Parts: sequence; structure tokens; C-alpha cells
Amino acid sequence: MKKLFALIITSLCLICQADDKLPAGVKPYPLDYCVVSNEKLGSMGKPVVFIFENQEIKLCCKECRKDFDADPKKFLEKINNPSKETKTATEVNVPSQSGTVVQLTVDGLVCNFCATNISKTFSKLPEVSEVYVNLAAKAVLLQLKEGKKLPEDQTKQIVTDAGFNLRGISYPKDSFNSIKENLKKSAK
Amino acid sequence: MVSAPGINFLKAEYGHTFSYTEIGRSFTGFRSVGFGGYSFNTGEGKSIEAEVAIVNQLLKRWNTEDSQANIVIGGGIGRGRTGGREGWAGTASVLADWENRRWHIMLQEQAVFVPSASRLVSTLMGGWAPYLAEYDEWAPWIYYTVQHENGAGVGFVHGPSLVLMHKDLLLELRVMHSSHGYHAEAGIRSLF
Repeated sequence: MKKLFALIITSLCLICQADDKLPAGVKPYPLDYCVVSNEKLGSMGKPVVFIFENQEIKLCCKECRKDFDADPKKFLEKINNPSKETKTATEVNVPSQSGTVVQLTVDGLVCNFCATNISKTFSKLPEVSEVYVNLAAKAVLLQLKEGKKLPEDQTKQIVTDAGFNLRGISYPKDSFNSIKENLKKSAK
Repeated sequence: MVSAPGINFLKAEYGHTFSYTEIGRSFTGFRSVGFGGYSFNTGEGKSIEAEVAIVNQLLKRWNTEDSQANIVIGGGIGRGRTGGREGWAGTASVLADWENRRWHIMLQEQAVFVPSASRLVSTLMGGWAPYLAEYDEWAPWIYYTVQHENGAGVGFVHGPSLVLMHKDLLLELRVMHSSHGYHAEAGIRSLF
């Protein structure tokens, strides 16, 4: 019985160890950001991880997987030769920059009154000049005023106090209106 | 109603035999607490009027990526009149609901204490959205409500309703059927 127990434990340890390692011949993902959106990995929740042509791929969300699948060669090229432009985009994704657009992904955002609650809550903040809520994407988009900052821990607390859970936070490089239009289009 | 801190709410319902208005505010610190006052009168055999201050407390909320569930308790105290009799009035309720963008189900038990005409009102509501609208568009919902009033001589009341939501406004039109026949009801809720 003891031998059987030891065998089970050893097998479990080996399985757990194997989970952390990539299969032989597969190259690990070399970037700390999503190759599709340039968002920092983990900022949109658990990254989407898969293997494509012996290359490990890590994306920020399921939506980026669709874009990746549409043109995988382009993104493989970006992984193997990250351009200066891509690196700069990642460096821009620093919290609390002036005039920054902040995109929140919020759990529990399912109805109009939920959207109104969170929209009114953020609209009252002196740091925020514009708020847009998209129920389909569970997204709250904030335009910060020039020179104003909104720390992540404060943002998380505001969302919690409004009765919701903050799942992800990102700082997209596109303009507020452009992201708003994209969210509206994807909702259709 | 329970909203985010610092948000005011108005809730009003009007029917053939009753009217109900409640105004209140949700507070920081007690983020799920709202309170206000309401008055109603019902003509189901007895004329009842009451003005009650109410406190609502969100006991628990579950948020998932695509849905939300809540348990809310409420209580109120004030003055009520049934015919010529006047005295203390009160209300106590517990509400549980679950919703996603397509479906909403709500169950509420409410005890209403008024002189000589106390009653227990059980409400079950199920709602369905025919299409998914954004919050800055008109979002329609179709509900069916079944209500049982114990102690007021009303019994079962049930019927469909159409709910239209737009940003901070909710409009509701109901056709309810009871032992007294069909009657129309209208409701409005707003956050401001």
C-alpha cells in the first residue's frame, strides 16, 4: 500500500513538473506583452496560451486569438523580430500617465443600471473627463484629464465599492473615441 | 433599490388599485444601503395608506464574467391607516435575483404591516431580453410576474409586462390578472 501511495505521489509530482515545461522543440514565448494588442500579459485576465508551429504563443485575451488566427505568419514574424515600434507601444502602457485612456474589464456588468452606476461613479472623479461603458465587452473606458492620474489600486477600490469586480485593466495607445467606436462595432 | 454610493433613485408604480412611490439614496461606507420613504394605498376590499422609511441592505452579490446574483434585505417603519384606524406600519423583505444580459429571475418575499390589514406578498418574476442592446440604446425586456398576497383577500395576481431600459431610466407597463379581473399598471425607475 505504501509503495502504491509513493508511486501515486511521484507520478503527480512528475505531471506537475511536466505542466511547467514546454514539449521538446517548442520555443518559449519571448515577450512580456501580447503580440496582437501590445497589452501587458495578465492585464486582461489569465493569458491565452497555445502552441503554433513549435512556437509558444501567449495572448492577452480570447479576442486576440481571433486576430492571431486570421494572420498567424504576421504575428510569428513580430515575435521573432519585435520591432522598435512594438516595444515603444509597450513602454507607453504605463499606468497613471497624463491624458491616458484607461480600459477596465469588469465582472458583473450585465444591465443598464449596472452601467449607469459605474458610469456615474467614475464621472464624479476629478481625474476623469469622459466615461464610456460597453456591456457586450464588459468594458469601462475612461479618458483621464491632462496631467491627472488614476492609480490602479484606487480604480480597483472604486469598482469594488460600486458593487463589481475588476478583472483587468489596460492602457491602450489608441484614442478614446477610436476605442469607443471599435467597442461599439464589435458589440454589433 | 440598491445602487452605487452617492446615487439617488426614484421608484414609482401606479395601478388601478394602488400607487407606490419611493425615493432614496445609496451611501458610501454602507455601499449597499439605500433608504427613502414610500406611500401606497390599495382598494382590494380595504383602503390602506402608509408612509414608511425604508432601509435596503445588499447582503451578498456574486459577480461573474457574464452574470450577477444578489441577495437584498429591506426593512421599513412608519405610520399607516386602514379605513379609520391609524397606527404603526412597517415592512420587511428579502429579495434574491440572478441576471445575465438575456435572462433575469427574481424572487421576493415582503411582509407589510399595517393596522388591521397586514399581509405577506410573494413575488416571482422572470424576464427575457429579445435582443441585446447597449446601455445607451433602448433595451426591451419581456417579463412575467406571479404574485401572491396572503392576508389582503387578493390571492394570486399574474401577468406579462414590457420593460424598456435606457441609460438611467426604466419604464414598465404591466397587464395583471387577479380575481377582480384585468388591470393595467405602469412603473418607472430612475437613477440620478
